Amino acid sequence: MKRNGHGIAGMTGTIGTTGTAGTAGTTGIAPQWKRRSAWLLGGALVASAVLSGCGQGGAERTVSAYEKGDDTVELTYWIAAAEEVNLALVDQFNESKGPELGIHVNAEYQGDYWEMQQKINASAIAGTLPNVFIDEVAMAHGFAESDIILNLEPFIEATDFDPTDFQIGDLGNLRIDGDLYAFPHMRSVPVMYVNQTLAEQVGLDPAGPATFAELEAYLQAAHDATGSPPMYLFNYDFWVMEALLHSYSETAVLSEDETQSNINSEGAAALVRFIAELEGKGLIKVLGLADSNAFYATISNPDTALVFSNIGGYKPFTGMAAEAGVEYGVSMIPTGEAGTRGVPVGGSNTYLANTGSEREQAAAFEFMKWLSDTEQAAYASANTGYLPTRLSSLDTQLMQETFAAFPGYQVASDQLQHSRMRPTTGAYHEIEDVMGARLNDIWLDDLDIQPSLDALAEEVNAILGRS
Amino acid sequence: MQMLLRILRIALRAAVSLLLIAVFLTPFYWMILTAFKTLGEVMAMPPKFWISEPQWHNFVDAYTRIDFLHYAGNSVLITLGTLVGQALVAIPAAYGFARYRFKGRNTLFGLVLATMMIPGQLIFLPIFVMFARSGLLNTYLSLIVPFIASGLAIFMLRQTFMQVPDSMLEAARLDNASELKIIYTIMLPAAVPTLSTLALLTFIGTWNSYFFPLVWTTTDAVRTLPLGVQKLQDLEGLSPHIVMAGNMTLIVPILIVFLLARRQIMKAFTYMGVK
Repeated sequence: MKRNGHGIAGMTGTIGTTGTAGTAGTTGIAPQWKRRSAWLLGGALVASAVLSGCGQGGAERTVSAYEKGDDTVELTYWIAAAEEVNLALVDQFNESKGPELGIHVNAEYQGDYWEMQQKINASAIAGTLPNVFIDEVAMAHGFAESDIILNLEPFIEATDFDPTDFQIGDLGNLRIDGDLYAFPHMRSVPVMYVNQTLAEQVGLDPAGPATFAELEAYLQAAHDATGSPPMYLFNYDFWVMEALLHSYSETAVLSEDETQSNINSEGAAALVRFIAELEGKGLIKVLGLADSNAFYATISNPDTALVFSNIGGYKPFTGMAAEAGVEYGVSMIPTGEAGTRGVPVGGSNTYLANTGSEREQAAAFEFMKWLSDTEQAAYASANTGYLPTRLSSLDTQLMQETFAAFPGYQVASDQLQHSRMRPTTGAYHEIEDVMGARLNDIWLDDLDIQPSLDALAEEVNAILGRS
Repeated sequence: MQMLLRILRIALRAAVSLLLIAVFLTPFYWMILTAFKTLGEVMAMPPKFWISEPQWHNFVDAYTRIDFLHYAGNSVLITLGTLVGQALVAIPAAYGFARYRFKGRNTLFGLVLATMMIPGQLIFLPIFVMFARSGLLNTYLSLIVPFIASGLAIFMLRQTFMQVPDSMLEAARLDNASELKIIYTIMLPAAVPTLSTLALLTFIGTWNSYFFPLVWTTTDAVRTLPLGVQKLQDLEGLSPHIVMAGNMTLIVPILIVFLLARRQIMKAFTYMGVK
């Protein structure tokens, strides 16, 4: 098999669509407001899809590998987040591989992942989808259920493409019923940032606490030395909580079949109680969901000992903290009692949209292959702070230099061995919002934990039930 | 004793006024302060409420990181287009509702009022589809036309036009004044405070609009300044000082327009309150 090949003319594969018009559940100048709008759009999309019967009922058709013709195939590529790097990659393609293949890509920036989701949902109805787009990893199922994206297996078959090199972290979000529906684009995991400047001053381990059992003593020592909260918990991105649930409680947010919430389980309740106790002792300060600026300000606060956030923030966090004379190191998320550790893999995928002629789709797949190739994956990683998406990228000189200059990336990369798939249901972003808000209520308003979690579980189950 | 009470009352009023002023001005002060700070000063703990040396280059950075003139130009065009369009539609419509009796007038006016009760998020999708199918996506028209027929403008102007005495219109008609002349020479001068208020509200609403320019565009061609500032935030990551420099540029025109129109606006609200 040819690895990372750029297409073999004449080979064919078959394409099948999921055939169900389901939810494209959504969530993001206030993030909560944007998310509310997205839900409205998600609902509208469902209604519209049902009314128009847009599902293709599992229809299958033949896919041919891309062949260069006399004319240039123009593709539209919608990008979200990391605009400069994504535009630079497109420029590279248009200057090098594009002319060779007779493909020209027009990149158009659409905002963050949630804004992109709104645009994609609206464009699906209007019939103005781009050929390829970037969006968050957990959206694959929602897009596939709404027939917005194509199954990549026929294209892989037709071009003899080998996706096994993508094996960095859990790839579950790329697959639906075993079939690949997306390519990984940028990858991120939650890590623990440790204020090494403070650790040195106070005589703490600069690697931070290795276990949750050590966490309280670590925070207490930092608190005793500074008199300030040594850690802030910001739940806007729920995936830090996902990591804590996996690691502390050895449980996941949702049941394996994603029909029930686990948030009121014994393990989850123990974690919520643990955080409540630390909060009660002044060792953790829980921030509101709209307090993103406050959260970022805490990073450069010399009294902050630990920050749980994603590795994608490594460069900006360390740069910002350096302005305040604070040096951060990166460690893995602490382990639970039984040595358990689990981190959700987030970031973005590239999706092949269900639009355009067969030739355009084949050309779009060629572009996706190039974009996900070793050198491009390394370039995207080194220039953003996200992790590369290919094993082979780790061996490139660029990544080796990046790991040497920013050793935290190596820690995050090593932590991928503990990676877990994020929930895949199209309703998950609505669930994230609800859980973030309700858990904050529990901690900030001192609510009874178990009854509150039971009520939250019911709320989540209701969302799952209607999705 | 009475003197003491009076002094206390004045002192209390002054204290409350100062408190209110502080509540309203602090965010602006903080924005301006942040726009002139270094990143280190922004992140300093405890926070600094002054600046040692203004960082003018934050503005240069903000303007060069995004195509500032392009976004600002789009904002000006779309805001002016909406203002002119609203005037062309709302003034005659309000005049018709206020001064003419015709079948279905109340029903039609009810429909106009109903448009004010429908959230934009509910209608943006069908409008997006309509624009996409008619090839109007990513055009100035797509960001101007939907806001021209403003229910609020028609309602407010109708109420104002109804206050003009019939005798003035009759006198004008006896002098063979056309309907356009009546609007121009009698109605509009009487409605200057209302027009100023509406113009300011439309200006603020259009200039600051984020959602519709976001969802009704797929390229940068006609995107406006709020989207540019948001893009600045995406590009700059954790650089609040540069983002605040961009925000200041967004807000200053609104403050200037408000300062220019504030007397008329106060008049309009005072007038409505008396009525």
